[in-house]
Amino acid sequence: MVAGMRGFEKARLCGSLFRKILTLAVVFGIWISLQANDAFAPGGERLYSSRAIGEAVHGEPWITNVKVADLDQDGLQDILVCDGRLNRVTWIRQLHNGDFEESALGDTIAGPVQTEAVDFDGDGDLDILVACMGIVIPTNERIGSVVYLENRGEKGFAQRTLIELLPRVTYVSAGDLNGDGRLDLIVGMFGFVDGEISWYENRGDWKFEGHSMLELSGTIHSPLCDIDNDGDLDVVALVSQDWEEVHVFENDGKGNFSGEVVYGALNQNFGSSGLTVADMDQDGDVDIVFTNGDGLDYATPGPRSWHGVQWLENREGGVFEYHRIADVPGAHSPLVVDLDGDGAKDIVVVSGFNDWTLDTAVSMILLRQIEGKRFEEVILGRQPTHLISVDGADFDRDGEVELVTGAFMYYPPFDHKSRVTLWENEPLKIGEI
Amino acid sequence: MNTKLSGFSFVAVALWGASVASTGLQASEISFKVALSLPERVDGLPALRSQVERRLDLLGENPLDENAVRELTYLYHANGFVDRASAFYDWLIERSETGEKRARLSYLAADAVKEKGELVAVEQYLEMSTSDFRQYPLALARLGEAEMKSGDLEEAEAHFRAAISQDEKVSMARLGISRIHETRGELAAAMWELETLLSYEPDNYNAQALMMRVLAQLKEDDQVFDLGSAFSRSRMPPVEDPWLEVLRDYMFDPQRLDFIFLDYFTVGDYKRALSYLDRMQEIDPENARFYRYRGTVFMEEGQFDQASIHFRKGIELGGDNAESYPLLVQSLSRGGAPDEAEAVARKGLQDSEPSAVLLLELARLLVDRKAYADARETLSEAHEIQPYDVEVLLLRARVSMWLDSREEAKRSLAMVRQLAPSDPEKLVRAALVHMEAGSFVDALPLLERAVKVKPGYKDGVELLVDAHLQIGGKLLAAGDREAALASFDRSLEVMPISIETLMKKSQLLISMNRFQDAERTMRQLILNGVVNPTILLIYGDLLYKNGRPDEARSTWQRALDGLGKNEQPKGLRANLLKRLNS
Repeated sequence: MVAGMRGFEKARLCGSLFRKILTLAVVFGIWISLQANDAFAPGGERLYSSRAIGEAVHGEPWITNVKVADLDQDGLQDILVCDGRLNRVTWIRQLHNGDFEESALGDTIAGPVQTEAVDFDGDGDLDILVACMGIVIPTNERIGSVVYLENRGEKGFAQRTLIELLPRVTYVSAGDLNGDGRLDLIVGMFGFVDGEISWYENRGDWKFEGHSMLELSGTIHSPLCDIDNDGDLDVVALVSQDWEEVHVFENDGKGNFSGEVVYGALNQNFGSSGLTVADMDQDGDVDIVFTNGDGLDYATPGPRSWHGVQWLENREGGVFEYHRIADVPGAHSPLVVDLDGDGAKDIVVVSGFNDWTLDTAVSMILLRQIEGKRFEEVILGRQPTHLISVDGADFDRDGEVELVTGAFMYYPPFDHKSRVTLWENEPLKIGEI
Repeated sequence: MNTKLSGFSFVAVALWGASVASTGLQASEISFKVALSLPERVDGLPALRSQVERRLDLLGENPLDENAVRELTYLYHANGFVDRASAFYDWLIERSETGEKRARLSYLAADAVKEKGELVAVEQYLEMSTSDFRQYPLALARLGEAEMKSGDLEEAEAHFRAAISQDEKVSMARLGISRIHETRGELAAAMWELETLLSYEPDNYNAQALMMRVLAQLKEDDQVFDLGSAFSRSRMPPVEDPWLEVLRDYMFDPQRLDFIFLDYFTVGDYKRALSYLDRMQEIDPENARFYRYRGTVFMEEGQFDQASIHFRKGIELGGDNAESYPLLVQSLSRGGAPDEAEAVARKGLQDSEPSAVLLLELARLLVDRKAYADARETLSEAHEIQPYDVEVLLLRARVSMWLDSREEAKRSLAMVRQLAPSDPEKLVRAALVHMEAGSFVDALPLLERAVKVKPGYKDGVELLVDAHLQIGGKLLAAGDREAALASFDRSLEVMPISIETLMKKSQLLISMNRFQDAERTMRQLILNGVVNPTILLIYGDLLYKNGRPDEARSTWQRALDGLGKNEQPKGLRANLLKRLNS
């Protein structure tokens, strides 16, 4: 206790000097910041300015996914939106820099949760694949499907269900998985009790033959990538529910996959929520970045102390080394992007399940990569809240990445509602938040 | 901020620092010094804060108070301050002699670091635990799980088998072995393990789910269906683990207790659930939410009076009224006090923020007492607040139909279709509203969708058959016999052996003089066991008309043989005899 009192007295006596030093430090800091033009102060905040785009908020929206794509190939980035509440996919089209217009694509699409823009029919324009859960909230019914929206230019989009009566589908992506020149599909099915990851061989004439790769419930994402650098497309999958595992399925180039668990959390309530692949350390191979922040599974939805972001470093011989990056309550939708323009890969993460009763709760954060594969946290936004999906691109062609988010307003308070928000790298002035 | 670094911690660091650095066991980067400060996050947890402060004070007085360190470690662990907990565990492990005591500490440390997914650290702690003391099967089983998550199935299996050799009912280990068998395609072995597990733990959801997968691979579709239908829940209660029980008394974060409460509540173990709720209320007695939880438990048990008491208490405390008011209304209503329920609903609407859920409860009460106009107004208000609430839309549609506002009803039902296109139950309920109002044609797309998303859905199929039948009946009444016949055929496409449809179709075909078709339809009935003297008489007549008198005669004879002795000669018997004697 004596030591403690001494410390307190010392601090009090030194207070005046400390304030002077602090003032000098702040001034110096501003000067340094101006000199370096460092927009992302370490450990601090860089609150992006944000504005709603697309339709106005009505009720509490459940935007399950936003995806940037230049759908009409006019050189301006657009946004594909999955609306899990109204069961539709919409297109927020950028008319000219800064103006956006939203319209529905196709008819009712039950429980859309992810899209991929791809020229699936090979006619030169971008079509859309949609992963449909059927119902976003838990059920074990086989109501999942893969919907295809064929781009017919000025005639709009024609809707076709490619595969149906599946466990709830959470992910779809196209790629030639057996080397026959046709685009096949990888389909992640969360299900509930039943669940699955399968690839669907494109047999032509809109016929697809399923090949099961894993029969576990809880798949969140299952992107395609060449994880073993052998020239063909492999699959990396995040499986939540009771498993909380990352699986890698290596392809022999003919569609024969051998799968293994490369990571698993022993915390059954880990809440795996999103996975993406990217060469994080720029060593020439693909690494895995994933979040755990699902907060739905509790009596009162919200954050948990174990929520966060991590990456699996792809080491030689198919070994993946786990690195926890940061604790982020409600972490979702990891987006790998060089946001600060320093050449290193950063990670943007949104929070779908924070304690929104607190004005200080963070809804979007940048994990900025600095030297030595280390990351520092920079807060990008606090409102709007309940953000479950983020994507990014240079919307205004100024050389910087803008971000777009979707809000899943599932639990109160609903004080800072949004549907789709565009975030721009323009620092807010004092008083704006 | 409120984080303080205690003065005494400098002393402690000086005393302990070197040895902490030497363990190098865990992945946490937190320093011992930081672990001895008051965590910032305890600010919102006054009960925890005072507990932590007490131990820090004890350590201030005696930095070598191992008991205080242990208690502080448990406090950090039990309340989710994982980095701090693991730093202290390292220190405690370092100071413990090998054997069970140290094994327990390592085991607890593994449990702490697993929270944030530190798999390598978990493995290291568990390896240490099991090498110090091999007689705790759960440690072996958990090490098996860790190995499995690392992809080393052989090591995992060895640990699982070691666990089972000590206690054959360690379900975690048996489940692990089952999963390994399933992964390797050894389905019979997987089934054997799962059957063994379920023989002593029949409600093990994870085992049931895995068994379903194995059965599916074995193409045992009927068994898959039976097992799937028997699922009563989708959660497992926490594993009973004596070595972790010590943490329970150190848990002062209501949110974490809340989580365990929910686990037990969901599986229907209310006794255990309530024990956690007791603790939550002890820690945070003014929390209205906890009264709501208790009220909900009572409501689940059908004790509505008790439930109401707790909901009222929660409302009195405030802060949770949006949730508590509707439940109190429900509880009163289900407990047979609708007037009081209505009064409470109105008071709730006066006192609280606008709530669609509460308005819906009020509307239900109004519907019960047939105050439809008021109910519609109330539901419109609810819809304004929550435009996506399917229950509001469904009730509004029904009320609108009763008030003859058919367009409004149709709009509501179209919205239900938009909001719940894959929810067969909601689709069927929407269709029922149309059918109750006689709009069978409007019901069709909803029912067709319900049956499509859930093939074989009994309610959907039966209503769809009925809708087609009703439409056929209306067309027939309007004189459009061909269209009516098409409707009956559509009904039979949905359910080929619908007695009522087959009868009506036969009747219609006879009236249209299409005797060959009628005969085929009647034969369907008879082949499916619908055999009585009247049907046989008609079928015999059809055979006769279609030029097969011998078959007709034997059919009439069969009908006559089937007649009871009490059948009056003037009735059916006379008709049959007349035909047979002609």
